[in-house]
Amino acid sequence: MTESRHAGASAVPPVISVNNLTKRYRNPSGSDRAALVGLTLDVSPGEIYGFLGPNGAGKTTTIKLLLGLIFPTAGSGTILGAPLGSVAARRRLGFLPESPYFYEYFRGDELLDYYGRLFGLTAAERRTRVEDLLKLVGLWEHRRLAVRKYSRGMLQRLGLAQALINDPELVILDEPAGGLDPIGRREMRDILLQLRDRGKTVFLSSHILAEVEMICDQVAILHRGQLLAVGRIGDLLADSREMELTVHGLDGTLTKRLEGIPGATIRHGADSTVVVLPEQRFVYQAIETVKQAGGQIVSLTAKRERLEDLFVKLIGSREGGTAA
Amino acid sequence: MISSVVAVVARQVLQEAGRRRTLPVLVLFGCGVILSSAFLSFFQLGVEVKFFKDVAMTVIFLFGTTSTLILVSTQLSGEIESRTIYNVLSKPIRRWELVVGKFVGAVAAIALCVAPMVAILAFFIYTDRGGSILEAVKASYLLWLAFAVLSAIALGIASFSTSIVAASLSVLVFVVSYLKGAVTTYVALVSRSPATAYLGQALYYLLPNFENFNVRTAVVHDRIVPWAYLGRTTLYALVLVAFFLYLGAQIFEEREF
Repeated sequence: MTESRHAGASAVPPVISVNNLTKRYRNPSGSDRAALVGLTLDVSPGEIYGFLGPNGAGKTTTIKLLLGLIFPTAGSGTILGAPLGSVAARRRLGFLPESPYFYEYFRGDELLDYYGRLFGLTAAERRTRVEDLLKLVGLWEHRRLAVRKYSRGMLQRLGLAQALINDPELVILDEPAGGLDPIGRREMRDILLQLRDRGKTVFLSSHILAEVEMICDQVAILHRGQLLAVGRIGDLLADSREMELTVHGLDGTLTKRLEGIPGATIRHGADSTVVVLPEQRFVYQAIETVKQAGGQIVSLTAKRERLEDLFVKLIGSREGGTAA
Repeated sequence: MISSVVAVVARQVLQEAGRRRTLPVLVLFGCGVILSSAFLSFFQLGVEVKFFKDVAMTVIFLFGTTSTLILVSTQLSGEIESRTIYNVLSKPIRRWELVVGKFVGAVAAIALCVAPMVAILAFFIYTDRGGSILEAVKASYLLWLAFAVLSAIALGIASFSTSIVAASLSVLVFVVSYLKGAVTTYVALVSRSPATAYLGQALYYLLPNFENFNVRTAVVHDRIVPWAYLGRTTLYALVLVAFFLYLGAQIFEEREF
C-alpha cells in the first residue's frame, strides 16, 4: 500500500472508519471468492474522498457493506460514529446507487416526497427540500413527469436529489457521472464542491479519473478487493522532472538534432510535435535548436504525473505489467 | 401503534396499487360480473336471491384472491428485481418495517378493491333481493381475513424468492390449504407408507385452514354467522399473520442485496 492509514492522526473523529473489512462469497462449487479483503480506511469530515478501482475491484461491495445492504465476513466499522448499516447512520447519510432505479409510477416530486417521508421530514420541510433540490439538479420543470418517462441523465439527477433530501452530513455516490452529458457532469462536479464547501463529506466511487483528480481531496485505489494506495492526491502523484516542449514546423533535420539531446523522446502529432525532455537543464538547448532551425514553439510545460498514470502503474504492477 | 415508517411504506403500496392498472381493471371487471349476475338472476325463478348472492360472494373471493396474489407477490421481490431496494434500504428504515409496511399497504389496498363489490352486493340485498346485509358484510370480512393471511404467506415466500416463485408457491399453499381435508384423507387412503401418512398429518396441522374463512354457503342460505365465530376466526387470522410476517421479516433481515 502506498500510504498507511491516513486520517488516524487527525483529532477529528472520522466520518467513515472501517477496520479489516472483509467480504467473501461462497461459489456454487463450494470455494470462497473474496470480494473485499481487510479494507482499513478512514474518511475525514468535510472532504471529497475518491474511491477508485477497475471493474470488480470491490468498490460497490464496500459501499453495500457501509450501508448494511450486505454483511461483512470479518471486520467492523462505523459511519458518523454509528455501526455500519445502522438506522442511526442511515438517518444522517445520503446514497446514490450506480444506475439508480425508482418507482416508475411516481412523479419526480412525489418520489422525493416519499423519500422525505421515510426520513420523517414534516410536510413543510418536504415541500421546501423537494423544490430546492429539483431546482438544484435542473428537474423543476419536469417535476410532474412520471419517473418512467425520465431519460438516463434525468434519472441520475433525480438520484442525486433523493440522496440529498435529508440534508445529509455524508453523501455516498456510486458512479454519479454515469449517464450524464458533459454539461451534466460539470453541474454534478459543482454540486459536489458546493457540498464540501458546506462542510459535507462526499464519498465518491468513480471510473472517471480526470473528474476525481479535479475535485477529490483524498483517494483510495482498490484492486481485486485489496487496497493498493490511499492518501492525498498531491502526495500520491510523483513530481516529474520531465518537460514537454510542443513545436510546430519540425522537419527531418530538426528532428535529428532534437533526438541528439540525451534522453529526449519525440512524439509526432497531426499538427505539432511533442518533445519530452528528461530534465529541465535541456530546455534551453532544445529551444535554441528549434529557433535555429526556424521551428515555432507552441508551449512548454512541466510534466506532472496524473491520477490515471498512477492508477495504471499500480494496477499494472499488480497484474504483472499487463495494464501498464 | 404503527410506526410512521410502516405507514409511509403502506401508503406507497396503496399508491402503487392505484396507479398500476391491473387492480383497478380487476375491480371494474369484478363489479361488472356482479352487476350482470344481478340482472341475470331475475330470470332464475325462485332461486334468484341465492343465485345472486352466491355469484357475488364467489366473485369477491376469486377477484380478491387474484388481486392479493398480483399485488403482494411483487412487493418485496419486485423491489429487489427492479433494484429499487437499494434506495429504500439506504434510508432510515428497518427491514421488518418494510415487510410490515408492505403487508399493511397490501391489505388496505385489497380492502379497497373488495369494498365496491361488497357495496354492490349490499345495495341489491337492500333494494329488492332480500337477505341480511350484515351477514353479507360479515362473510366479506372473513374473506378479507383470508386475503390478509394469504398476503402474509406471499410476503413470507417473497422474502427469499422471486416474484414468480412467490406467486406460484402462494397459489399452491392457498389451494392445498383450502383442500387440505380432502388431500390428507386421500393421502391416508392411498398411502401404504406410515411416513407419507405422517407427512399428510403434519401438512394438515401446519397449513392454515382457509375453510374457516369461508361462510359463503351460510350467507347464501340466510343463516346467521355468530359473532363468537367471527371473533375466534379473527384471532386465528391474527396468529397466522403474525407467524408468517415474523418468519418473512426474519428471513428478509438476513438477506443480502
